[in-house]
Amino acid sequence: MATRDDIEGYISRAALGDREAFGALYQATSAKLFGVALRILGSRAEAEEALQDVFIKVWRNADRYQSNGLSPMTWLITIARNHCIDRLRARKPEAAGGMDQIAAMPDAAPGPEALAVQSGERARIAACLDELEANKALAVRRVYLDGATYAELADYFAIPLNTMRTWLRRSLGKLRACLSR
Amino acid sequence: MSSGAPTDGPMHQAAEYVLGLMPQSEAAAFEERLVRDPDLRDEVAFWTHHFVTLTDDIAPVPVPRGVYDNITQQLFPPAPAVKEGGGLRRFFLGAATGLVALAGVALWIGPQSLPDATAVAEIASDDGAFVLAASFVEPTGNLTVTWDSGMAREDRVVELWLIAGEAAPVSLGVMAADGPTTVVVPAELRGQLAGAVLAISDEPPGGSPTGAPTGDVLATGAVQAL
Repeated sequence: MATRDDIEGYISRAALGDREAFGALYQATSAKLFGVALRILGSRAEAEEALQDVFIKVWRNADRYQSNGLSPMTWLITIARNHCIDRLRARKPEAAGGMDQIAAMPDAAPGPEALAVQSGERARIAACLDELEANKALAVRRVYLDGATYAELADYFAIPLNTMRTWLRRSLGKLRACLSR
Repeated sequence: MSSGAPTDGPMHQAAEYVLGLMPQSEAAAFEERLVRDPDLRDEVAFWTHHFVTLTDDIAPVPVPRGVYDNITQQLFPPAPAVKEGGGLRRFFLGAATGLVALAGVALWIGPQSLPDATAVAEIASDDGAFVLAASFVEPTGNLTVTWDSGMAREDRVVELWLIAGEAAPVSLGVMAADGPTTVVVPAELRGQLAGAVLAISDEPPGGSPTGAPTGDVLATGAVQAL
């Protein structure tokens, strides 16, 4: 299994045009990024297209990755997540299920494969989200994983838009404090 | 119950930017600040690092075999270029939500410019379909432009232009289809870069035949001195 250093090596060689390294990077990381794309987009066909776009971006931007204390998977997954959210939002509004459908989805129960997580311990943000009220934690997750907007959140919780903004921003403040502990 | 604590400081903005809640109209100004403010960049990196762990529980899923072939066909087409009937070139329509196109956000995790860059620009379309990053190094006059999102239309090329003040656009050449493009900015133009606008236009193969943009202007960006 590729280590963090291996993956960084593949990225820096891909940045120099090394196609084999790019292939190795794909081998090592595409399944995880595909899982993320499937989770966000919900459709296999869309997730496959998105994955292609993601790796094209990775090839084109490999020279912009710098080893600066962040893991290469953070960089890769962020590119994948952001591309998929942009794609999701570009769908016609009628096609999106809206917050009701989003809120009804259970968080994916981790299967055996998922137990090989990047961090050896439960992510700090998950623990900090548990310290928030359930609704506030749900709102944060739905923004990150489903691209929920303030308008959709306000509609779902049946509160004014400005109130939703204040709720979420206060929640972010609490998360920040918790994450800094 | 109001705690009275502020909810619109840089920390909140950085989090909203990473999440994708910031309106596109604010994102441009925020990104200008990111260029100059390492603490703000650290804040963006902080939130990026933590939010990404929300994907820890997502299981890897094996990818069908054909996907890698599609990627390499797009990136490394055999010459002459294979044309796919269905169109592998997808124009990524920007969000109808009016929120920041996240394509550019992914790359603000760390320092964006080359270590010795003296000026930078983000060249982007409003809908996020085109995002490119430009770095200029004054001593060498090299301007390096990399693709982040978007590509040339089929059978067309993308040409890069410098627009200084009220002057007519000056061509800096045709962009490479893939990977970074480095051009040497003519000496007499280097002093005009800061505050100028970089733009890309859609042109026939070989670039504009007239010396001025002939096709659609695809994206623009202001150059900022560092």
